[in-house]
Amino acid sequence: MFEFFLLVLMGVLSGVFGAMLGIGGGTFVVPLLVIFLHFPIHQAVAISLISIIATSSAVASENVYNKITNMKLGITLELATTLGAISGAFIATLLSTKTIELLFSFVMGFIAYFMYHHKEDLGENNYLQTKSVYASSYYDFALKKNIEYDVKNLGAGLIISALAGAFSGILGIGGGVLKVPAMNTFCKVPIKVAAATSNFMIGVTAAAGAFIYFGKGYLKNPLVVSLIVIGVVLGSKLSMPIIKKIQPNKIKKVFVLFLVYLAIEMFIKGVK
Amino acid sequence: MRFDINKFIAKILQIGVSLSLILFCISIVESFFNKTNHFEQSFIGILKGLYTFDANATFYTGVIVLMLTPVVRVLCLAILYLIEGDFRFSLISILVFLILIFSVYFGIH
Repeated sequence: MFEFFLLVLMGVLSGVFGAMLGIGGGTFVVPLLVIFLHFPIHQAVAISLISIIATSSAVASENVYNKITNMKLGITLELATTLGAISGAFIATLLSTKTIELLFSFVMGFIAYFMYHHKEDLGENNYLQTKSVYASSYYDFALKKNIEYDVKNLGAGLIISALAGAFSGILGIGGGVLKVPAMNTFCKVPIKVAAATSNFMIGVTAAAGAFIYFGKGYLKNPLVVSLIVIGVVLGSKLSMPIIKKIQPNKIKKVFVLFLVYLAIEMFIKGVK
Repeated sequence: MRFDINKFIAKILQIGVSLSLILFCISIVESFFNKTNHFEQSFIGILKGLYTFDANATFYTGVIVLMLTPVVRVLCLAILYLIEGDFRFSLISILVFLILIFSVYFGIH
Protein backbone atom coordinates (compact mmCIF):
# COMPACT_ATOMS: atom_id res chain seq x y z
CA MET A 1 0.00 0.00 0.00
CA PHE A 2 2.91 2.35 0.78
CA GLU A 3 4.31 1.78 -2.71
CA PHE A 4 0.95 2.71 -4.19
CA PHE A 5 0.99 5.97 -2.28
CA LEU A 6 4.60 6.65 -3.29
CA LEU A 7 3.90 6.18 -6.99
CA VAL A 8 0.84 8.45 -6.92
CA LEU A 9 2.75 11.07 -4.92
CA MET A 10 5.61 10.93 -7.44
CA GLY A 11 3.10 11.56 -10.19
CA VAL A 12 1.48 14.44 -8.31
CA LEU A 13 4.83 16.19 -7.76
CA SER A 14 5.81 15.71 -11.41
CA GLY A 15 2.46 17.09 -12.50
CA VAL A 16 2.76 20.19 -10.32
CA PHE A 17 6.28 21.03 -11.55
CA GLY A 18 5.56 20.14 -15.13
CA ALA A 19 2.43 22.24 -15.40
CA MET A 20 3.94 25.22 -13.58
CA LEU A 21 7.05 25.29 -15.73
CA GLY A 22 5.63 24.12 -19.03
CA ILE A 23 8.01 21.16 -19.12
CA GLY A 24 5.41 18.39 -19.15
CA GLY A 25 6.26 16.58 -15.93
CA GLY A 26 8.48 13.97 -17.56
CA THR A 27 11.66 15.66 -16.45
CA PHE A 28 10.74 14.60 -12.95
CA VAL A 29 9.34 11.13 -13.70
CA VAL A 30 12.46 9.75 -15.41
CA PRO A 31 15.07 10.50 -12.70
CA LEU A 32 12.71 9.45 -9.90
CA LEU A 33 12.03 6.07 -11.47
CA VAL A 34 15.65 5.53 -12.46
CA ILE A 35 17.36 6.81 -9.31
CA PHE A 36 14.95 5.76 -6.57
CA LEU A 37 13.13 2.76 -8.02
CA HIS A 38 15.98 1.43 -10.22
CA PHE A 39 13.92 1.27 -13.37
CA PRO A 40 15.69 0.57 -16.68
CA ILE A 41 15.88 3.99 -18.33
CA HIS A 42 14.08 2.95 -21.54
CA GLN A 43 11.05 1.88 -19.49
CA ALA A 44 11.20 5.07 -17.44
CA VAL A 45 11.27 7.12 -20.65
CA ALA A 46 8.25 5.24 -22.00
CA ILE A 47 6.27 5.83 -18.78
CA SER A 48 7.36 9.44 -18.80
CA LEU A 49 6.16 9.97 -22.38
CA ILE A 50 2.75 8.53 -21.48
CA SER A 51 2.43 10.78 -18.45
CA ILE A 52 3.56 13.76 -20.54
CA ILE A 53 0.70 13.17 -22.99
CA ALA A 54 -1.75 13.16 -20.07
CA THR A 55 -0.36 16.31 -18.38
CA SER A 56 0.03 18.20 -21.58
CA SER A 57 -3.51 17.43 -22.69
CA ALA A 58 -4.98 18.22 -19.26
CA VAL A 59 -3.13 21.52 -18.96
CA ALA A 60 -3.34 22.41 -22.65
CA SER A 61 -7.12 22.18 -22.57
CA GLU A 62 -7.18 24.86 -19.83
CA ASN A 63 -4.70 27.10 -21.65
CA VAL A 64 -6.41 26.70 -25.00
CA TYR A 65 -9.70 27.53 -23.31
CA ASN A 66 -8.19 30.70 -21.85
CA LYS A 67 -6.68 31.53 -25.27
CA ILE A 68 -3.13 31.83 -23.97
CA THR A 69 -1.93 29.18 -26.43
CA ASN A 70 -0.91 30.30 -29.93
CA MET A 71 -2.22 27.28 -31.85
CA LYS A 72 -0.95 28.45 -35.25
CA LEU A 73 2.59 28.75 -33.93
CA GLY A 74 2.14 25.45 -32.09
CA ILE A 75 1.02 23.40 -35.08
CA THR A 76 3.81 24.85 -37.25
CA LEU A 77 6.53 23.98 -34.75
CA GLU A 78 4.95 20.53 -34.31
CA LEU A 79 6.17 19.70 -37.82
CA ALA A 80 9.69 19.86 -36.43
CA THR A 81 9.04 18.35 -32.98
CA THR A 82 7.25 15.22 -34.25
CA LEU A 83 9.94 14.43 -36.82
CA GLY A 84 12.55 15.00 -34.12
CA ALA A 85 10.72 12.81 -31.61
CA ILE A 86 10.40 9.83 -33.98
CA SER A 87 14.08 10.04 -34.90
CA GLY A 88 14.98 10.42 -31.23
CA ALA A 89 12.95 7.37 -30.17
CA PHE A 90 14.64 5.22 -32.82
CA ILE A 91 18.09 6.49 -31.80
CA ALA A 92 17.30 5.78 -28.11
CA THR A 93 16.62 2.11 -28.79
CA LEU A 94 20.21 1.86 -30.09
CA LEU A 95 21.85 3.66 -27.14
CA SER A 96 23.01 2.08 -23.87
CA THR A 97 21.47 2.93 -20.49
CA LYS A 98 24.58 4.79 -19.28
CA THR A 99 24.78 6.89 -22.45
CA ILE A 100 21.19 8.03 -22.03
CA GLU A 101 21.69 8.77 -18.32
CA LEU A 102 24.74 10.92 -19.04
CA LEU A 103 23.01 12.66 -21.93
CA PHE A 104 20.07 13.35 -19.61
CA SER A 105 22.34 14.99 -17.04
CA PHE A 106 24.20 17.09 -19.65
CA VAL A 107 21.02 18.34 -21.29
CA MET A 108 19.53 19.28 -17.89
CA GLY A 109 22.75 20.99 -16.82
CA PHE A 110 22.97 22.98 -20.04
CA ILE A 111 19.35 24.09 -19.79
CA ALA A 112 19.78 25.13 -16.14
CA TYR A 113 22.83 27.22 -17.13
CA PHE A 114 20.99 28.77 -20.06
CA MET A 115 17.96 29.63 -17.95
CA TYR A 116 20.11 31.19 -15.24
CA HIS A 117 21.77 33.62 -17.65
CA HIS A 118 18.75 34.21 -19.81
CA LYS A 119 16.90 37.49 -19.50
CA GLU A 120 13.22 37.39 -20.29
CA ASP A 121 12.28 39.19 -23.49
CA LEU A 122 8.92 40.90 -23.22
CA GLY A 123 7.06 40.43 -26.47
CA GLU A 124 5.37 43.81 -26.30
CA ASN A 125 8.72 45.64 -26.55
CA ASN A 126 9.28 44.16 -29.99
CA TYR A 127 5.83 44.79 -31.32
CA LEU A 128 5.83 46.24 -34.85
CA GLN A 129 3.15 47.60 -37.20
CA THR A 130 3.57 44.84 -39.80
CA LYS A 131 1.83 41.76 -38.48
CA SER A 132 2.60 38.17 -39.49
CA VAL A 133 -0.09 35.46 -39.66
CA TYR A 134 1.08 34.34 -36.21
CA ALA A 135 0.40 37.66 -34.47
CA SER A 136 -1.96 37.30 -31.53
CA SER A 137 -2.85 38.57 -28.08
CA TYR A 138 -3.78 37.14 -24.68
CA TYR A 139 -5.12 38.33 -21.34
CA ASP A 140 -2.49 38.22 -18.60
CA PHE A 141 -4.18 37.38 -15.30
CA ALA A 142 -1.18 38.47 -13.20
CA LEU A 143 -0.66 41.82 -14.96
CA LYS A 144 -4.42 42.27 -15.46
CA LYS A 145 -4.17 43.49 -19.06
CA ASN A 146 -4.35 42.35 -22.67
CA ILE A 147 -0.92 41.78 -24.25
CA GLU A 148 -0.38 41.86 -28.02
CA TYR A 149 2.63 40.22 -29.63
CA ASP A 150 4.00 38.95 -32.93
CA VAL A 151 6.20 35.95 -33.77
CA LYS A 152 9.73 36.53 -35.12
CA ASN A 153 12.50 34.24 -36.46
CA LEU A 154 10.31 31.22 -37.13
CA GLY A 155 13.28 29.39 -38.72
CA ALA A 156 15.25 29.41 -35.48
CA GLY A 157 12.11 28.27 -33.65
CA LEU A 158 11.74 25.31 -36.04
CA ILE A 159 15.37 24.20 -35.68
CA ILE A 160 15.26 24.30 -31.88
CA SER A 161 11.87 22.55 -31.91
CA ALA A 162 13.34 19.69 -33.97
CA LEU A 163 16.15 19.40 -31.42
CA ALA A 164 13.66 19.54 -28.55
CA GLY A 165 11.64 16.81 -30.25
CA ALA A 166 14.71 14.60 -30.59
CA PHE A 167 15.56 15.04 -26.90
CA SER A 168 11.94 14.26 -26.06
CA GLY A 169 12.18 11.01 -28.00
CA ILE A 170 15.51 9.99 -26.44
CA LEU A 171 15.07 11.22 -22.86
CA GLY A 172 11.30 11.25 -22.31
CA ILE A 173 11.30 14.92 -21.38
CA GLY A 174 8.68 17.25 -22.78
CA GLY A 175 11.25 19.38 -24.53
CA GLY A 176 9.57 22.50 -23.17
CA VAL A 177 12.81 23.25 -21.36
CA LEU A 178 14.31 24.04 -24.77
CA LYS A 179 11.25 25.40 -26.54
CA VAL A 180 10.05 27.87 -23.90
CA PRO A 181 13.31 29.88 -23.72
CA ALA A 182 13.76 29.56 -27.50
CA MET A 183 10.31 30.92 -28.27
CA ASN A 184 10.84 33.68 -25.74
CA THR A 185 14.35 34.67 -26.89
CA PHE A 186 14.28 34.09 -30.65
CA CYS A 187 10.62 34.29 -31.56
CA LYS A 188 9.96 37.16 -29.09
CA VAL A 189 6.83 35.48 -27.71
CA PRO A 190 5.79 36.40 -24.11
CA ILE A 191 6.91 33.74 -21.63
CA LYS A 192 3.39 32.66 -20.66
CA VAL A 193 2.38 32.19 -24.29
CA ALA A 194 5.63 30.31 -24.88
CA ALA A 195 4.90 27.98 -21.92
CA ALA A 196 1.28 27.40 -22.96
CA THR A 197 2.17 26.83 -26.63
CA SER A 198 5.02 24.53 -25.65
CA ASN A 199 2.62 22.52 -23.47
CA PHE A 200 0.20 22.31 -26.37
CA MET A 201 2.95 20.84 -28.59
CA ILE A 202 4.38 18.51 -25.95
CA GLY A 203 1.40 16.12 -26.13
CA VAL A 204 1.79 15.58 -29.87
CA THR A 205 5.58 15.35 -29.59
CA ALA A 206 5.41 12.79 -26.77
CA ALA A 207 2.79 10.76 -28.65
CA ALA A 208 5.05 10.59 -31.72
CA GLY A 209 7.80 9.11 -29.55
CA ALA A 210 5.51 7.03 -27.32
CA PHE A 211 4.17 4.91 -30.19
CA ILE A 212 7.72 3.80 -31.00
CA TYR A 213 8.42 2.80 -27.36
CA PHE A 214 5.01 1.10 -27.18
CA GLY A 215 5.82 -0.90 -30.31
CA LYS A 216 9.17 -1.96 -28.88
CA GLY A 217 7.42 -3.26 -25.74
CA TYR A 218 8.83 -0.85 -23.16
CA LEU A 219 5.47 -0.27 -21.43
CA LYS A 220 5.52 -3.23 -19.09
CA ASN A 221 4.06 -2.40 -15.67
CA PRO A 222 0.36 -1.53 -16.08
CA LEU A 223 -0.20 -0.87 -12.36
CA VAL A 224 2.87 1.37 -11.99
CA VAL A 225 2.14 3.33 -15.15
CA SER A 226 -1.53 3.79 -14.22
CA LEU A 227 -0.73 5.09 -10.72
CA ILE A 228 1.93 7.52 -11.95
CA VAL A 229 -0.18 8.88 -14.78
CA ILE A 230 -3.18 9.40 -12.47
CA GLY A 231 -0.88 11.22 -10.04
CA VAL A 232 0.56 13.41 -12.77
CA VAL A 233 -2.86 14.54 -13.95
CA LEU A 234 -3.97 15.25 -10.36
CA GLY A 235 -0.81 17.31 -9.82
CA SER A 236 -1.20 19.35 -12.97
CA LYS A 237 -4.85 20.03 -12.21
CA LEU A 238 -3.97 21.14 -8.67
CA SER A 239 -1.39 23.63 -9.95
CA MET A 240 -3.69 25.29 -12.49
CA PRO A 241 -5.18 27.89 -10.09
CA ILE A 242 -1.66 28.79 -8.92
CA ILE A 243 -0.05 29.20 -12.34
CA LYS A 244 -2.28 32.11 -13.27
CA LYS A 245 -1.25 34.15 -10.23
CA ILE A 246 2.51 33.66 -10.25
CA GLN A 247 4.97 36.13 -11.83
CA PRO A 248 7.38 34.64 -14.43
CA ASN A 249 10.56 35.37 -12.46
CA LYS A 250 9.46 33.27 -9.51
CA ILE A 251 8.84 30.34 -11.84
CA LYS A 252 12.34 30.67 -13.27
CA LYS A 253 14.15 30.43 -9.94
CA VAL A 254 12.43 27.19 -8.96
CA PHE A 255 13.08 25.93 -12.46
CA VAL A 256 16.86 26.40 -12.32
CA LEU A 257 17.35 24.89 -8.85
CA PHE A 258 15.27 21.90 -9.77
CA LEU A 259 17.22 21.27 -12.98
CA VAL A 260 20.64 21.48 -11.30
CA TYR A 261 19.58 18.90 -8.72
CA LEU A 262 18.31 16.50 -11.40
CA ALA A 263 21.44 16.93 -13.52
CA ILE A 264 23.76 16.08 -10.61
CA GLU A 265 21.76 13.02 -9.55
CA MET A 266 21.61 11.71 -13.10
CA PHE A 267 25.32 12.32 -13.69
CA ILE A 268 26.26 10.31 -10.58
CA LYS A 269 24.02 7.48 -11.74
CA GLY A 270 25.51 7.59 -15.26
CA VAL A 271 29.19 7.37 -14.26
CA LYS A 272 28.75 4.79 -11.47
CA MET B 1 -22.73 32.72 -32.50
CA ARG B 2 -19.40 31.94 -34.17
CA PHE B 3 -17.99 28.46 -33.62
CA ASP B 4 -15.15 28.61 -31.08
CA ILE B 5 -12.17 26.56 -32.26
CA ASN B 6 -10.42 26.95 -28.90
CA LYS B 7 -13.30 25.48 -26.91
CA PHE B 8 -13.69 22.56 -29.31
CA ILE B 9 -10.00 21.61 -29.13
CA ALA B 10 -10.07 21.96 -25.33
CA LYS B 11 -13.05 19.58 -25.23
CA ILE B 12 -11.31 16.91 -27.32
CA LEU B 13 -8.25 16.95 -25.07
CA GLN B 14 -10.42 16.74 -21.95
CA ILE B 15 -12.45 13.81 -23.26
CA GLY B 16 -9.34 11.86 -24.34
CA VAL B 17 -7.56 12.27 -21.00
CA SER B 18 -10.69 11.56 -18.95
CA LEU B 19 -11.50 8.41 -20.89
CA SER B 20 -7.99 7.01 -20.58
CA LEU B 21 -7.84 7.85 -16.86
CA ILE B 22 -11.14 6.06 -16.27
CA LEU B 23 -9.70 3.02 -18.09
CA PHE B 24 -6.55 3.21 -15.92
CA CYS B 25 -8.67 3.28 -12.75
CA ILE B 26 -10.71 0.30 -13.95
CA SER B 27 -7.49 -1.60 -14.73
CA ILE B 28 -6.16 -0.91 -11.21
CA VAL B 29 -9.38 -2.30 -9.71
CA GLU B 30 -9.30 -5.30 -12.07
CA SER B 31 -5.70 -6.08 -11.13
CA PHE B 32 -6.85 -6.81 -7.56
CA PHE B 33 -9.20 -9.53 -8.75
CA ASN B 34 -7.51 -10.93 -11.85
CA LYS B 35 -3.91 -12.10 -11.92
CA THR B 36 -3.18 -12.93 -15.53
CA ASN B 37 0.46 -12.86 -16.51
CA HIS B 38 0.17 -14.46 -19.92
CA PHE B 39 -0.98 -11.52 -21.95
CA GLU B 40 -0.64 -10.97 -25.67
CA GLN B 41 0.17 -7.35 -26.53
CA SER B 42 -1.61 -7.24 -29.87
CA PHE B 43 -4.78 -5.72 -31.19
CA ILE B 44 -6.71 -9.01 -31.00
CA GLY B 45 -5.18 -9.85 -27.61
CA ILE B 46 -6.30 -6.53 -26.17
CA LEU B 47 -9.85 -6.92 -27.53
CA LYS B 48 -10.13 -10.43 -26.10
CA GLY B 49 -8.80 -9.22 -22.74
CA LEU B 50 -11.29 -6.36 -22.56
CA TYR B 51 -14.08 -8.89 -22.90
CA THR B 52 -12.75 -10.98 -20.01
CA PHE B 53 -12.03 -7.95 -17.76
CA ASP B 54 -8.29 -8.47 -18.03
CA ALA B 55 -6.44 -5.66 -16.21
CA ASN B 56 -3.66 -5.51 -18.81
CA ALA B 57 -6.07 -5.23 -21.71
CA THR B 58 -7.95 -2.38 -20.04
CA PHE B 59 -4.64 -0.68 -19.29
CA TYR B 60 -3.36 -0.93 -22.87
CA THR B 61 -6.67 0.35 -24.20
CA GLY B 62 -6.22 3.36 -21.90
CA VAL B 63 -2.67 3.89 -23.18
CA ILE B 64 -3.80 3.71 -26.80
CA VAL B 65 -6.68 6.15 -26.17
CA LEU B 66 -4.22 8.52 -24.48
CA MET B 67 -1.64 8.27 -27.27
CA LEU B 68 -4.31 8.82 -29.91
CA THR B 69 -5.75 11.92 -28.20
CA PRO B 70 -3.10 14.30 -29.62
CA VAL B 71 -3.42 12.60 -33.01
CA VAL B 72 -7.17 13.19 -33.07
CA ARG B 73 -6.56 16.77 -31.94
CA VAL B 74 -4.24 17.39 -34.92
CA LEU B 75 -6.79 15.91 -37.34
CA CYS B 76 -9.57 18.08 -35.89
CA LEU B 77 -7.38 21.14 -36.19
CA ALA B 78 -6.77 20.31 -39.87
CA ILE B 79 -10.51 20.02 -40.53
CA LEU B 80 -11.38 23.15 -38.54
CA TYR B 81 -8.79 25.27 -40.38
CA LEU B 82 -10.13 23.89 -43.67
CA ILE B 83 -13.68 24.92 -42.73
CA GLU B 84 -12.41 28.38 -41.77
CA GLY B 85 -10.74 28.63 -45.21
CA ASP B 86 -7.28 28.87 -43.68
CA PHE B 87 -5.54 26.52 -46.15
CA ARG B 88 -2.00 27.20 -45.03
CA PHE B 89 -2.64 25.96 -41.49
CA SER B 90 -4.91 23.17 -42.67
CA LEU B 91 -2.03 21.86 -44.81
CA ILE B 92 0.45 22.18 -41.94
CA SER B 93 -1.93 20.23 -39.65
CA ILE B 94 -2.35 17.49 -42.26
CA LEU B 95 1.44 17.18 -42.58
CA VAL B 96 1.78 16.79 -38.79
CA PHE B 97 -1.03 14.21 -38.90
CA LEU B 98 0.79 12.19 -41.57
CA ILE B 99 4.01 12.22 -39.53
CA LEU B 100 2.02 10.89 -36.55
CA ILE B 101 0.42 8.16 -38.67
CA PHE B 102 3.93 7.05 -39.62
CA SER B 103 4.72 6.74 -35.90
CA VAL B 104 1.44 4.90 -35.15
CA TYR B 105 2.23 2.44 -37.96
CA PHE B 106 5.59 1.60 -36.39
CA GLY B 107 4.09 1.42 -32.91
CA ILE B 108 1.32 -1.02 -33.73
CA HIS B 109 3.58 -3.15 -35.91
